[in-house]
Amino acid sequence: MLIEINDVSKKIKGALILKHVTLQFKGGLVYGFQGPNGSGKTMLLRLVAGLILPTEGEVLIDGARLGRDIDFPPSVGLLIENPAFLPGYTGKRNLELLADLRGRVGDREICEAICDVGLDPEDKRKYRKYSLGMKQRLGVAAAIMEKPDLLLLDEPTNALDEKGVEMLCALIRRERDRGACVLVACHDREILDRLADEIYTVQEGCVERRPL
Amino acid sequence: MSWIKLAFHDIRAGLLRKRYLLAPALVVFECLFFGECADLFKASQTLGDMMLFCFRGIWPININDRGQDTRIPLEWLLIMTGVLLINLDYILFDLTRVGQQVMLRSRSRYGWYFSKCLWNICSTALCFCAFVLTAAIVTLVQGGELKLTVTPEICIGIYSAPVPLTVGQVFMAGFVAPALTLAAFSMLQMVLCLFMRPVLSFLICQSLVILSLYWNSPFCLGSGAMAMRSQWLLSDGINTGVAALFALIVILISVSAGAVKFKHMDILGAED
Ligand SMILES: Nc1ncnc2c1ncn2[C@@H]1O[C@H](COP(=O)(O)OP(=O)(O)OP(=O)(O)O)[C@@H](O)[C@H]1O
Ligand SMILES: [Mg+2]
Repeated sequence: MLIEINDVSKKIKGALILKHVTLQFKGGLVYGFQGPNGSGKTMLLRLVAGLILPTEGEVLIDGARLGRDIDFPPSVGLLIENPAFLPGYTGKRNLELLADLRGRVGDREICEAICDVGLDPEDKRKYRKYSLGMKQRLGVAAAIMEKPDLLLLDEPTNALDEKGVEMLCALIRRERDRGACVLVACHDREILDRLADEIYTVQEGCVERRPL
Repeated sequence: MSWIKLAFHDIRAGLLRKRYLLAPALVVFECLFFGECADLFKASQTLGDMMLFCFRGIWPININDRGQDTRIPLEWLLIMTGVLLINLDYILFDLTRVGQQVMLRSRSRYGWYFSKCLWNICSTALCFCAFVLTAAIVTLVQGGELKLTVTPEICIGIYSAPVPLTVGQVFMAGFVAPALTLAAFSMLQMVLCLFMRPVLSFLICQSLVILSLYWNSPFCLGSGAMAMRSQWLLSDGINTGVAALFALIVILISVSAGAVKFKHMDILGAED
């Protein structure tokens, strides 16, 4: 897995949100992003996910250009901002519905993912009754359940308790060791120091590598 | 068969909603009104009468004719507005929430978008079926018959003309043309939502609905949903078939324009 961001700038409604960003990401590594609120971390993840397209420059996923050759990366797990699911279904049913779209994983993998994030696959409560942290955990489960090659996590520690954060770190390491390319935007510097193989700072749309 | 799975998502997330209960309520309201009129004529009505009545609209308004009855057909406006409101927010709601997860997994922007177009048609169809079903129930309750003919006495009472409409003409003016017109408005509104705020998109479509009260032409979208504008009820009326065809063309143009826009659109989070 190789992701190349070549000289990408992004304008939204007249505002320059990413400025001449050039980066490369490879499988088997964790990339951390930190920076002040509104600096462009979430936009960078949206860009890699194919949700927004560059105004200038290009994003290549294994040589295929996003927005021209492919609409989205072929195998991606995404958790951006607040997770969103159908409120009237249980957590497990929600994951089943999503997994069914690709048909790549079955009941066993879904249950595993739910257990991995510390939820109960047998829980009969509807998603709308979940607490904030439970919603976040389910969001993480949805991102990892299909064992994607590319994992994009935006503030994954949001609303998680201490044990939840430990669990998340272990999961991210596991995904990396499996060969996934993991991009994490996080405000907690300590967590990034522990997890990330490379750390970048994002400042007003510019991205720079920070020495470890 | 990923499009079937996408369609199922839209049925679950977009069609199984309480708001569709509004549709029968709109027609009950209208039918009760009809009940009052029908009592006056002491004639037993049919489903054809009822549907033509629901989508009768008004005669063309002539600004220069001072003596003319220009009462705005409130019930008709309510039906048109009701359908627009029922269909207003789903595409952007889904796009900023679980729809993003669905789209990433389907790996195709077009697939996701066309699934929304299909949802839009289904949603209008669901509303319309609710209309027909409600009208049928009200007809039966009032002792009428489920026929697609019109009762001459009722025609005289409401349209001041004993027009002998054929079953085909009733089907066209009371079912096909209104359904296609509603579908065209909904589709136009959905696609406009990709270009502007939903409120603006709703207001534009609503303005077109109101415009059609004052402009009598098959190329004015709302006219197709007004039986009283049809050449079958009015000597200088519009061709209902052309109006229906025009609605179909509006649907096709809207869908294509939306597809071009959506292919390169930025997908952001929910705006609160
Ligand atoms: N929907 C939107 N429309 C227009 N501009 C937006 C939108 N969402 C975000 N922006 C702008 O994009 C820029 C980058 O936002 P982004 O969400 O990427 O910041 P962030 O680094 O993730 O911040 P935070 O730490 O608060 O999550 C900001 O200047 C913001 O104002
Ligand atoms: Mg952010």
